[in-house]
Formats: sequence, C-alpha cells, structure tokens
Amino acid sequence: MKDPYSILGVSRNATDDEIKRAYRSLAKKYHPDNYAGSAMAGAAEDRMKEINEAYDAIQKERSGGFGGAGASYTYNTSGSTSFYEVRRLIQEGRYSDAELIIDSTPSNDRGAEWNYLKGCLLVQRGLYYDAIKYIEIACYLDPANPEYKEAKNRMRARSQSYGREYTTVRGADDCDCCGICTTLLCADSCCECCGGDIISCC
Amino acid sequence: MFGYVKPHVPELKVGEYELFRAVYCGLCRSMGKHTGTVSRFTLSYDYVFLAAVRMALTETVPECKKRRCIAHPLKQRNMAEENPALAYTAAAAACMLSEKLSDDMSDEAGFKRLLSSAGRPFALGMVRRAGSENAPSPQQIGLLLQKLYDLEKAESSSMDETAEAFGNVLAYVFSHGLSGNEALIAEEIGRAAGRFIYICDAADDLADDIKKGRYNPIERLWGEMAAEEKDGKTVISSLAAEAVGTAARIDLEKLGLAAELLPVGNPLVPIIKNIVYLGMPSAMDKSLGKNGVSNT
Repeated sequence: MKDPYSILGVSRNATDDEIKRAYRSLAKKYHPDNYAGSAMAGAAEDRMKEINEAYDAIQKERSGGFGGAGASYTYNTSGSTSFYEVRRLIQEGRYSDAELIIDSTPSNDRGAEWNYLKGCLLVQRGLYYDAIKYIEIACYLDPANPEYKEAKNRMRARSQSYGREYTTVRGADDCDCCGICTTLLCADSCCECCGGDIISCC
Repeated sequence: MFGYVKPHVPELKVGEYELFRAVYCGLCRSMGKHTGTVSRFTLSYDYVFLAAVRMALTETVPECKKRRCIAHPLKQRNMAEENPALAYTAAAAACMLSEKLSDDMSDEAGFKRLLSSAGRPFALGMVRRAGSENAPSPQQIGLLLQKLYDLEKAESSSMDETAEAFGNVLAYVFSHGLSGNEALIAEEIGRAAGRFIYICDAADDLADDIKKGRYNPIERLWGEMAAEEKDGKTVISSLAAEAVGTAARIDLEKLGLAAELLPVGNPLVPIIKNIVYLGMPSAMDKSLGKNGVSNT
C-alpha cells in the first residue's frame, strides 16, 4: 500500500484537522456526482476508494499507537527489539497479553523501548495522562529514536487540534487589534493622498 | 469545587456573557433560598457549569429578571429565576461541601482541621435544608470520594486512575435524577470535568504538596522530573507541564464529544461549548504556569 499521507497530499506531521480538510477537499473533487455519465467514472471511483482507505488508515494509526493498517508502512526500529514479542502481540490486538509481559519486566530492564511500549498500551486504553509520561521518558532516554519522537509528536498534534474547529467556526482570528490599527493607518495614508485625513496627527 | 471550569470570556458573545452571569447570580440566589445564606460563599464556577448542563439537558431556558442582591445592592442585575436545575445544583453543592469537610476533619491537622470541624455543622444544616427528594445522596458522594481517598492513601502512581475516581464522583452528581440518553451525556460530561478538575488541582498544589510531603498524583507519577527550581521557588517542571497539558487536551476530546450531543437550540449550549473548548484548556494552562491561551 502506498503511504496514506502522500495520497492525501499532507505531511506526516500534519494535524488531524489538516488531514480532515485535505480529505474533504479531495472527496469533494472526486465525488461520483462530478463524474456521473463520464467515461472517467470508473477511474474516479478507484481514486475515491484509495482516498477513503488512506484516510481510514491514518485515523486508525493516530487513534491507537500503531494499528493493524498502519503496520505495513510505519517504519520499525532497525535496532534491537528485545520486546519483539510485545510488539507482535500489540499488532495482533492482544493488548492485555502484551501488558502482562510489560508489567512483569524487572525494573532494571525498563529502558526507552519499555517506556515507549508501556505508553502505547496506555494510549490504547485511553489513559493519556499516564501514557504521555512513559512516552516522554522514552524520548528522554533515547532522544534520537524516530519512532518514539513520532509517537510524542502525534500526541502533540492531536492535542493542538482540540477546540480549533470551535474557534475557526466563530471567526475569532479575523479581527485582532493589530489588524484594526494597520487597516486604519492604511486608510489614513490613502485618504491623505487624496487630500483627506482620518488620523490628524500622522 | 475549585473554579477551573469557566468560560473564556473574550470569546463569548455579549448576550452569552450576560446569560452566564444571570445563571451565576440565579444560582447564588437559589443557594441562599435552599441551603442558607452561608452556602452562598461556597459558590464556584464549576457549579454554574453543572447548572448550565442540567438546564441544557432538561431543555430549560432560564428566565431572567432584574433584581438587586446583598452583594451588589446598588445596581440591579439580571438573574435567572429559580428552576429545578438551579435547586438541584444548590443541593449538590451542599452535599459536596459537607463530604469534603468530613474528610478534612479526619485528614488535616491544626488550623484546617479546626476550620472544617467548625464548618461541618453548617454544611450538614445546608444538606438538611436542601433535603428534597431529587437531591443527590450525600452517602453516595461520600462512598465515591472514599474510593479516591483510598487510592491516594495507597499512593497510586497512575494519574488516570485517581483522576477517574474523582471523575466518578462528578459523573454521579451530574447525572443523578436524569434518565436515558440525558443521563449518559451528563455522566460523560461530569466524569470528564471531574478528571480535569482533579488534574488542575494537582498541578496547582504540586509545590505545596512536595513541601509538606503530601500525596500528589503528578509528583507520584513523574517522580524527580515533576518539579524544578525557578527563581528559588519550586514549580512544575516544563517537561511535565507540557506533557500534562497535551494529555489534558486529548482527554478533553471525550468531553467535546459529549458536549456536541447536548440538545441544539438551547441558549446555554454555546456557553457550555466555550467552556469546554476554550475555557477549560486555558484554565489548565494557568494551573500549569503557562501564560496566554493556545489554540486561539
């Protein structure tokens, strides 16, 4: 399967919101209604299917650490995977079995990878306050690891999209103080060109 | 409760702000009527949120009238007229207070213990006066709070676990007396709000708790990384603050989903959404020592 992010034309770091927007505009573009009666109807349908699959895959990946659909394209760490068994169980969706192994790991074996996997399992259970601590510790212990960093960035991106739709709907960004001042100044200089003046001192 | 659940005022429409204030004043008045003048001093924004949610769920549109009150004798203010949701909230506030004080009496030492012992009879009086059939049961609240205190005594290292225990208290308080979908929505809103309030409070108390050697969920989970020294003061570490703020916003998604299910058309719903999407995240940022509101 092709990388779902490139299908939607967004970067891996895109926020959930950006992805949703990209998905909507593509879905609108390739909507069957637009191609009704055209010879390209079949091709558009295929494209639409591809877009839907890509969107679903990203949703699945973002909602739970790494999900089944995501597994085929997420880069796995090339380094040591001492928790190979745990990763396998997670990919099969056997979270409680994975948790058993994780929780019975002796404390001196609890390195970066252990913290990362523990965090992923907690995300799966919706325990975000705990999960993020373990993921942060994993990043702290192994700052160069792209997998851990990715998990952290994913949580950041998700948190940043919270409430964003609410503010944009209300058009909060349209009118800030700076905007008003610059508009006034512009208007003033325009008027001065024609001999008038709004702000007399400048 | 503590006043973390309030609107982000700059994003409210003027009419919404007026209505919010009217509900606030109406609740204060209702508390005076049902649970006595003393109880009015215990009013906090969290309870206004409870009242607003109960009104929205029961499709009650508050009726406002201009009145004077003791706190502001000079100017008449718009106040929501008494309704079942306000009466319920007044009773719920009294029950929460009395259970909180009874715990403080057994846990705290010195001045605080004295204060809670002195306050308890007042609180009991409020509960008695409120004692209508649709008020929440103080015993049930006490039982649910006890589960939280047990976890705290056992030094639980899971923030989610302790926060959820407090969430369960508010899930009960928000949903008691409702049925069907309304009860489910109220429960979800209460639980998420409770979790949120618990974490905000933990962030606010962190330095104090560390100094006094008391249990604090953030300190217990993050250990040495929980706090750092800044200008000679103990504050939450920037790492923990960033992480807790991130987790809080993801956790609030559940509250957002529940808030979207409130009946449309009720004038309180936009205020509730403002609280949920903007007010609460910015209150959390404040507790975490971050200035300004992100996401706006």
